[in-house]
Amino acid sequence: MKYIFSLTVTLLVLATNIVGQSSSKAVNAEINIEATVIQAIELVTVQNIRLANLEPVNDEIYIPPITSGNAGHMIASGNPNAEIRITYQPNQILTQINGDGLIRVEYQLSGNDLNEQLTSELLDAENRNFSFNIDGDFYIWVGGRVFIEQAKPGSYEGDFTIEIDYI
Amino acid sequence: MYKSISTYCFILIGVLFINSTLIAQEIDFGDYYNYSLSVAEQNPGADFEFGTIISGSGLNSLGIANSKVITITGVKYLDVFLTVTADDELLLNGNPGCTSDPTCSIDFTLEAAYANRGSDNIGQARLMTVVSNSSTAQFPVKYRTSAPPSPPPTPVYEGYDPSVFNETAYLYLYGSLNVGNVNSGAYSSEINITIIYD
Repeated sequence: MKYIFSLTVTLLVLATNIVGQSSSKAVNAEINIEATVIQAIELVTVQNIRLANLEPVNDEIYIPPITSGNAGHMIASGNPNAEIRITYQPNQILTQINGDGLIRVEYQLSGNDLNEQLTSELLDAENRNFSFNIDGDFYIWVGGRVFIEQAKPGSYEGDFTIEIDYI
Repeated sequence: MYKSISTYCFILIGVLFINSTLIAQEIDFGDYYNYSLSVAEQNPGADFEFGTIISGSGLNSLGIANSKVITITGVKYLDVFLTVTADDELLLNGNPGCTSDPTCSIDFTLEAAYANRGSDNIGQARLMTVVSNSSTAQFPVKYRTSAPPSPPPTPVYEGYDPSVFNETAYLYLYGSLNVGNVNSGAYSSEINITIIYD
């Protein structure tokens, strides 16, 4: 009887020892995961270029972007304080929708991180670097020279291409 | 007396059965010597980097071809037990206060794979099952073919140098972010890796 009891206890202890074995050391490492989030750049047109009431001089209408109330006005928004590069295509041809008239346009742009047209800076045709303001806004005024020597009465259409990229 | 003996025999058999279900039918050779085991980054200093992402852009995935590669160097004939866990979110500036805040946290889904055929080759990688950004795997540092098992490891002897038997396995970490309309800035989190000889 005692023998059986001892054997039972021995087997229990032996079994416990085997199960209790474990590896001695573990190696740990930590890896960082990173991402930088920026806001998408949006461009909103506040005002189109207004030509209706302007008198041409020598078949040319000039709308200075810094001083004219007829200049187009756009607001770009994106990452606050982020540096941006603004590119635009200065020379464009507008074509008459129902006819063969042409209007040639040489765009001029000015920009400012304040919503103040008179203190805005003229953008060169080359790339220009600016920054969004603390609220993530940048203000753009669109003017230029409009040549109407080949224009005929009617409606015209054409593109204006402006590109804004984070630097 | 006979009743007592038969009762003890019954208990004894019961104990043996209970324990037989607990004791795995394997020998953990890694327990019998202080074998070296190390983890390192394949490209130190290069974080698991998703780059620049537009807020609100939704799913942004980093595939295994662009994964963060971790090397695991140890005795080739030993098994390792690998655990990988990652946080569920990347937080703006790593700030814990952003946890579960949809304006400053980004959901992260971990994926992982390993290759243990001796070369850094994603074509040889075996995908790990990841549940709730946590995954485990057990594998030999160097893949064993389906041939009959090799002889037991070389016994420890005087002058024994386990590094001679070292091999490197590769762990690939990748995954995806689901980017909502979050605030701009740097988001970060961590993946924890634990490796131990089986």
